Amino acid sequence: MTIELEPTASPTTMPQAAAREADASRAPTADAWKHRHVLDVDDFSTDEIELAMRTTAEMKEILARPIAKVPTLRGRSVTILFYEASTRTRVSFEVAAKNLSADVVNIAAQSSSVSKGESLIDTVRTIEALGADMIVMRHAVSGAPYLAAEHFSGNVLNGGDGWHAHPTQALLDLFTMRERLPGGSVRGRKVVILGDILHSRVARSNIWALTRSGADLWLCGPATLLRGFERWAGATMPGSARFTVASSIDDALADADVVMALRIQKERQAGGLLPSLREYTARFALTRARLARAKPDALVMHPGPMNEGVEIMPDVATGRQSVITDQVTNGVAVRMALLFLVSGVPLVE
Amino acid sequence: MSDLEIAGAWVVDPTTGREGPADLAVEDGVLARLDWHEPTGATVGTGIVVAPGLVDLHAHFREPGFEDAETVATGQLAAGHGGFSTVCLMPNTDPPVDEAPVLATVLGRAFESGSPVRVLAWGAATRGRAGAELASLGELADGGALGFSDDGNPIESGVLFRNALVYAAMLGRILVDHPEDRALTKGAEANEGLVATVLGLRGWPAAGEEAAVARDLAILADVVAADAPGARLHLTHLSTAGSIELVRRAKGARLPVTCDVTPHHMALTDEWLAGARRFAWGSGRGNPWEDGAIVALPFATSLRVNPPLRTRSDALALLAGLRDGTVDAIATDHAPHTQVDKEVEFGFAATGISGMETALGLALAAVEAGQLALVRAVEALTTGPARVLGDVPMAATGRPVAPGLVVGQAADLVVLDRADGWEVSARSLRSLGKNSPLLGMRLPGRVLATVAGGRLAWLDDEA
Repeated sequence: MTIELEPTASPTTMPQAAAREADASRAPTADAWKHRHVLDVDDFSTDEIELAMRTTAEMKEILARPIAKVPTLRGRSVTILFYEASTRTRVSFEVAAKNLSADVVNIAAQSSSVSKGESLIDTVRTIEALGADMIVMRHAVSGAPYLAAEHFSGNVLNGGDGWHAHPTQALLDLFTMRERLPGGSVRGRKVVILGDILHSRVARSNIWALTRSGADLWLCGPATLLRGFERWAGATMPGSARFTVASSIDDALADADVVMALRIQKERQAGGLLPSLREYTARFALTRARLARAKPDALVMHPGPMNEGVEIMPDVATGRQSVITDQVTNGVAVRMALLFLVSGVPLVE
Repeated sequence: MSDLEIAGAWVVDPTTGREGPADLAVEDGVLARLDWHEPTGATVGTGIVVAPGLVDLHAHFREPGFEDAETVATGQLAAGHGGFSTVCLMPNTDPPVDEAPVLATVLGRAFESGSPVRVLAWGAATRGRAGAELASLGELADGGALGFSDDGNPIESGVLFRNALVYAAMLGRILVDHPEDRALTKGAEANEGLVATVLGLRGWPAAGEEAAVARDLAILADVVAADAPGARLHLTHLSTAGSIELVRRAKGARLPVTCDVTPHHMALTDEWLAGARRFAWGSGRGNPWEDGAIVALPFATSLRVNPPLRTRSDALALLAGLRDGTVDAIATDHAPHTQVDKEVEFGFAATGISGMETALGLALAAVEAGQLALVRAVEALTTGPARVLGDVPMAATGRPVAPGLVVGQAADLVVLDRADGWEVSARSLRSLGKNSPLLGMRLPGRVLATVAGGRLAWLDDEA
């Protein structure tokens, strides 16, 4: 079952009212939600994605109020356990949890295979003994949240693991696209993810979310940073549209509806993957001239943090087509929605 | 031992290639009788099967240094449960077996345990397994080492690899290489392919193995032609179709090379990392997402192994290599690890599978699937590895490794029930290493008894 929200009159307001008025039999209800954890979007049903989108719209309505706070998760304890430096995602989760009146504990942890300090499992058990109901986790090793989920009786939300997944980012990106694209859907829309795909958990989760939603997805970047994705593009994934992998930025950007640039790290030069950042910028940076190949109202996105002047030019990042700050705001709403959905509590206003 | 009498079992004797129903009796530890029935044309072999005791070329018993993962005694118990009567241990202990006294300690432990499972050992090829200078090869050979290997640490320097090969040849010993080009596998977590790409795991390319195989074979060809016609190279745990093809060509060119594959590389694939739990031969097009094959959570660290689990076509190439004789042996690479080293993030987990007790079951699963003839599977676990060792055990220890069912000699055999399976579990595994990806699965072929050198190494409680 595929449910598309009704298109909105104004691209800047969410189709909240329209969704409420939608035929109840077509709309996914809260019991469509099957996931105790949010580890990735790869196994989300279409109904769950729709429910996440609808709930995000409701949360965004709450955010628009003078006092953006509801008592929904009062008495619930959320531990934010980050093994990797992050400002944006950590603060976004924290604000989201506090908007829902949850208690928030922040842990900045160090992890190494060599140090043999406290193991992840011990840390998770300790957090559980301290009364946490939910763990929001970021970790440099792919798959780490699955290990945490196995050993925690509450809910685990993945705030990014290694190169593997960043599900809340993919859902906020999808929400932002649907909010801004005419028709309120990504189906058939050309979405380009540009840059270091190989090392990107944002790209991987977006591949699942966007191909499930029927987007015409293109991945573009230097060939060394696209290795392996040709195989994924050629594989049949149930419920997913095929996608295209290209090193030609001109082909990728032609008539695009959405262009999402990814952060490029200096380490890629030292790692022998790129001759230089200068060369990357010359060939792949999102400039005004390149953006002109896309549709006139194409959306410009970036998951942050940005290296302005490297992978994206400042005038593009802050230009008319940029929805980068919307992504940040929507990030809070999406995380509120997911914290709420996994909690299983009824929405209390 | 107490006498053993079996009537009407399906007996497999790989030394003669003969299999069929027979009666046999062991008296005072000696195979007293083996009476083959008249051929009836029935080729069943589905009930009780008797074969020579299995020989493992590649196992880690962790002692000295890592006794919480395995000891020689617990490894011997696991060997008996797995049907093995002879095991060859790798030298990556702490301290490593790079000096004769360490070798003596390991062999002494095997003797002290009282287990009849015969323990042989490889010495390190380089001091400290560090790849800088040769270990005490002559002294190790005098102490009974079968040959030399830095298993787990490939000898990166081509020069040192060549010198180890030449020096080992002078000593009448074998060099065993774990072929891996470390530059290509640095930081690698999973076979480079669809599964690694989707799961965001660092890719471990087939070329990371094949480049090393090609180098080893090139150096071997040089050495054999120029310096040491008696040089012998064994390539262990080959995992890719390309490696098998390189060895096939080298054998065609009569290079003195042998190789083994592990049960897990021939039966499992990288799909398991994504949560699939089906054998290589039943894995459709090899895309677990497409086939709806995902039944478990991804990132199970019991699947982290070096070399990594490969694709369906690689696994099928290993089986084809076993069928055509390119692959000489199935070796377990039994690598027990503690929970502490395995119950961690995937990328931090120790590499290795506790595989001594599941090797026979996986081989029988391949037989049931029609991938291997029963006699060939038995051969790859008995006379195959014995041929790899050749006359080296005789020279090193004064006793040959000659699996066979020979009347009048000390019995060395395994009795198993193919009609009965068993569940792999932390309880059923006798190894201290419970790091098996097969936990919770049923494997065919319950081992009822293992007899080593005329003494019982295993007797099933219910038998």
